[in-house]
Amino acid sequence: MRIFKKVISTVLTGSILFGVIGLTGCEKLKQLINTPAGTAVKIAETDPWFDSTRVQLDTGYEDNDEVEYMSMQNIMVTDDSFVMYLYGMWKISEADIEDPSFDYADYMISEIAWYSLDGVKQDTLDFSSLQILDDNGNPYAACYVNNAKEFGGNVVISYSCYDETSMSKVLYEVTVDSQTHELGEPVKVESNYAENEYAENSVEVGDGYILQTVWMSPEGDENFSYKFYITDPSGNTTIIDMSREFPEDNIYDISTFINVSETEVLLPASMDGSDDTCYMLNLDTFEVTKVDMQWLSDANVSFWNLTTLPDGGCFICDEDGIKKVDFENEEIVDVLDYGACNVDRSEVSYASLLSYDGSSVVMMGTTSENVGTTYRETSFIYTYTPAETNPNAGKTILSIATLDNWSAALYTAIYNFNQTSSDYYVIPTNEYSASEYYESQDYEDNEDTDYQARALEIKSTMSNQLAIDIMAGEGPDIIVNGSSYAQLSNPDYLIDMNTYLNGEDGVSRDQMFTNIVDAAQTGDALFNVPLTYSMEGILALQDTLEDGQIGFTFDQMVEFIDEECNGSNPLQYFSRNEAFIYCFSAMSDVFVDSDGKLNLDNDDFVNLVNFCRDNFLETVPEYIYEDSMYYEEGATTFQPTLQNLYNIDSYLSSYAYGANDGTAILCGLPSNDGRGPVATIEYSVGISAQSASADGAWTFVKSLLSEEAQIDFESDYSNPILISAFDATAQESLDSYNESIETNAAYYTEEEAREYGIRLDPIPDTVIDDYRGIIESISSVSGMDSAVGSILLEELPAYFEGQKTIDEVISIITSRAQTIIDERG
Amino acid sequence: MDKEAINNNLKPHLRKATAAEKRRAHNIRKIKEWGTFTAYLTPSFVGVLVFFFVPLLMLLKISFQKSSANTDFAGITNYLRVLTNDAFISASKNTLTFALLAVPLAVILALLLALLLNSGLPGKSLFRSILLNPMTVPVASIVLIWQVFFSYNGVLNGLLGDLFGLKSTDWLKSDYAQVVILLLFIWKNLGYNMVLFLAALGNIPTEVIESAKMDGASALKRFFSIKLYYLNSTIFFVGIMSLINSFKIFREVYLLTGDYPYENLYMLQHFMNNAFTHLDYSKLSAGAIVMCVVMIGILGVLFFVESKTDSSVEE
Repeated sequence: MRIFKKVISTVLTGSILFGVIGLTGCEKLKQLINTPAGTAVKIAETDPWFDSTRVQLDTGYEDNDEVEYMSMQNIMVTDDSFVMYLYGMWKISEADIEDPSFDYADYMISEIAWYSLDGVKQDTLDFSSLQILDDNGNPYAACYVNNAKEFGGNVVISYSCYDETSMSKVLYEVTVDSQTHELGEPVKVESNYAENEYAENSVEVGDGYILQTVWMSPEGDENFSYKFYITDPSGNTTIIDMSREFPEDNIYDISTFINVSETEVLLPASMDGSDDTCYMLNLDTFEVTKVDMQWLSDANVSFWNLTTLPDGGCFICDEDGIKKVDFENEEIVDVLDYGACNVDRSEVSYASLLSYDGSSVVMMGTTSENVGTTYRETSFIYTYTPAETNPNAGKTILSIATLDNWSAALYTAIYNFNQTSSDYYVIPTNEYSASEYYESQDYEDNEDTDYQARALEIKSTMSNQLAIDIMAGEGPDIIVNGSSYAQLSNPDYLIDMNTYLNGEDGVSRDQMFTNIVDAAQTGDALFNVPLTYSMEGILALQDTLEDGQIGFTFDQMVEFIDEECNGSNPLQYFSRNEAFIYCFSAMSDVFVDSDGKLNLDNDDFVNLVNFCRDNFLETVPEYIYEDSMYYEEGATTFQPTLQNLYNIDSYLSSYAYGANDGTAILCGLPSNDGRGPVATIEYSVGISAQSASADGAWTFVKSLLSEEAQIDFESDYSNPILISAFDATAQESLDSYNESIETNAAYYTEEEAREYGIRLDPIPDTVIDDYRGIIESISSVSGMDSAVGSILLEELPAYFEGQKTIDEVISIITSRAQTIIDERG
Repeated sequence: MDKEAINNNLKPHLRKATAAEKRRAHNIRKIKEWGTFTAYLTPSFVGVLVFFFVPLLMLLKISFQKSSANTDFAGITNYLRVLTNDAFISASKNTLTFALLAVPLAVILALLLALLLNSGLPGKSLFRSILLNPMTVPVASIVLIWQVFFSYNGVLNGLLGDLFGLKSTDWLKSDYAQVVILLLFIWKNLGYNMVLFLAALGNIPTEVIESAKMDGASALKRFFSIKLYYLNSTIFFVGIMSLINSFKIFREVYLLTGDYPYENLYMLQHFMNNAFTHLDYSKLSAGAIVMCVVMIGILGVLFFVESKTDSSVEE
């Protein structure tokens, strides 16, 4: 029996062990090729889809060079037209200004325009020359248009006129007939308000009620409040004095009015000295009560971002789509998901909702550009209508996530790719965005808040989350801005992009600034392809530097501050911790060797720490921000400053509007070896190692490296990695600046220009070569492992405050931080 | 008519059972007994299976995979990753060092205390209660107390500074960190071990001791020649429990020092916990299996030694 039991236990153990190993071995037999953890999802024909149309609304002044600027504002949408308020200004010449009868009002352009639903202008009402007369029949000293809005189905134009006699402001309203499109007579808006009462908004609420809000600020009293003047459809007015209804409430601002129903209006209030409050106005009983809208706050909805439509409904419009707020059921309902229609989110993110009829959505967005010296806005009407089938059926979905913010150029690139790709469809996700995570947390800020440490903690959290999801096969296919997350630079998480940049697919490293690409590598692998970058350093006059100096050692920096900066540190806007992180990131290659070993026990680290301890404060005093800005335009004396060259415009600006006579160069941040400026990768892109559609993801990445996309990135204030894009945009920027300089030369004398620090001579073309020289001098990329950074910031304060010696602190940091690096294997 | 025929003609309740019937009845009884045993054992067995064996098998499987989601066979790659990982090696050293220090100290000190209390000291019940109290203190409170005492601006530094003019030491981030944790471990577990020894001392036959006394054996002789033998199994049990508790000290260390403590406090559980946080399940599983194998080895040796000394005690 005993032998029998031994046999049974041996057989059991053996079968378990061999069975397990055998099973895993069988897995290998079944799978002949390595399969990534992710799964490719294709779009089905039944997946929701909205057909979209985009109609451009022309102001009619697009080709008119005499126009300084033109803008368009939506007034209302009718069944058959869009009604717009066009406003702008004619160019003013020097001779015009010197004319004794000069009046700015004569140069204003004010029109109401009616457009058909397909964007054709049908009628225009020019009221630029409308003159409003006072009670004596005399024109006012000055009259300006406040706005034009819809009221009771008509367009109402609001004017502010200045009465010289009484030295007061008088309000007028002019109604435009909706049928004849003709101006009515100006009607004075009587103001029966007491002193210290200021009329603010007059809006239509409920079913034909008019709500006029009046802000009260009794003199000598620090309490603010409001009065509501509610006029019902019969013309009877009821006054609600909030200072009596809620005497303890200090109401600073009520400027949002949300029609919850036909008889209830929600009034979010910004309070002075306390949390924001919501009031509910009942139009039947004229009672105002406080209401709890915590469910909206819990859903991360800000009252100040809500849009209400004239015919009802309250909506949230953000870069993911449009949602409706259902106050009755206390829930947020999706109306339009931008993932279900191909939109350029850079355009629609800031678009305003015009109408929603239960299925179709109409929005208006505006793009702007500088054409020569003219500022131009172009407005578009977007219409989204539910489609019966999805036209992208069969395409493979590629998800793309950013760890920071989305740029307009990236959104445009996604839009263009989706329009042209026959096999793939890219959908953005905000799941790993550090800024989204920040907004979802209830961080409390006070004077002791260490924002640098918090930023590192958030980055570390997002990095971990993304790493976890990638390994589980649930992460995105494409990761943007992963270059600053050292944890992800690992073949388990990201593909080595060098395999794609070999020129076989038309894209090679030779087309890019290879020094930047090389600096962005991790060892021999390139996990994140840099798309754009900035360069950071201290802008200093060459005369104040030694021959061949490209940066500052710590001692040189101290000397430079004393001798050349009159004691004013160019990095004065940094707190101690921020300065440390900046300088550490710029010389991180000194402290982490190629084997990943942390080496802090050296003079370089000690010098860096001591430099930060001796030259920076724990927190930046307020007076530093009040006294000066980073870079003051029109400064007469050149001040060395920290300069972040996002693109060549930043460099040219210092020529055109600073006291830089062309001899300023960008030097590196203080470091052990006085190295030159470093690059910071602004946008990078990587492909998940677990993506089931890596080749498809590459087709999208390739589009980001096209000249068209790179030029778009450049206009987003970032240096493009593609050399041809740099060449194309640099000359354009220079020409634009020289055009401004030429214009300045017509307005300013030499003496005035010298006084204001404005350049009158054209910037030479050699500046482009100088700038390119700076780019090509970059040999390292700023970067720091956020987990290691957190430990540095945890332990260093003990040294800064004199509690521990530097050796003790180094020992602790090395011990803890090295463990993190070692764990990753 | 032979006996069998006569037997067969009798009524069933009068008939004698045949050999076959006896065997059949025996088998039925055996089956019934098995059924009863199984019925009582099944819930426990299922519980152990579901919460112990099955996870262990899953752990073993994952340790041979590329990742939890990618089930490709990775061979011994994960084991190599773990065994060559500097963090794992460091954690193993620290865990082993701590166990080698903590377990003998816990056993010896507890035994000495038990002997002291068993010697007829007045207030034995009171001392026993006092020494057992640390076991009842919640972990969070223990952590708080230790922070108050041993932090850089804590009580200990204050006392040393005031009384002896010594410079403050960040105890938990220094080479003394393990000593601090050792103190915590001893303080927490001493009472329980002592109670076990007290119970075992109470079970030693007094006549054996008395007769040894009458034979002129000294106290030391009596202890090493008689008491120690009877305490053998208790020492073994207390040792095993202390070894297990030496691993559980991770909880207090984690609360005191976080994910990445000073190097000599970085234990195997830190490695596991961080791997879990980063969802590196394959590395975590391989590490756990390695740890499991080592523990089986250590316990196997202990059991072997125990069985040898136990048999000599019986003799």
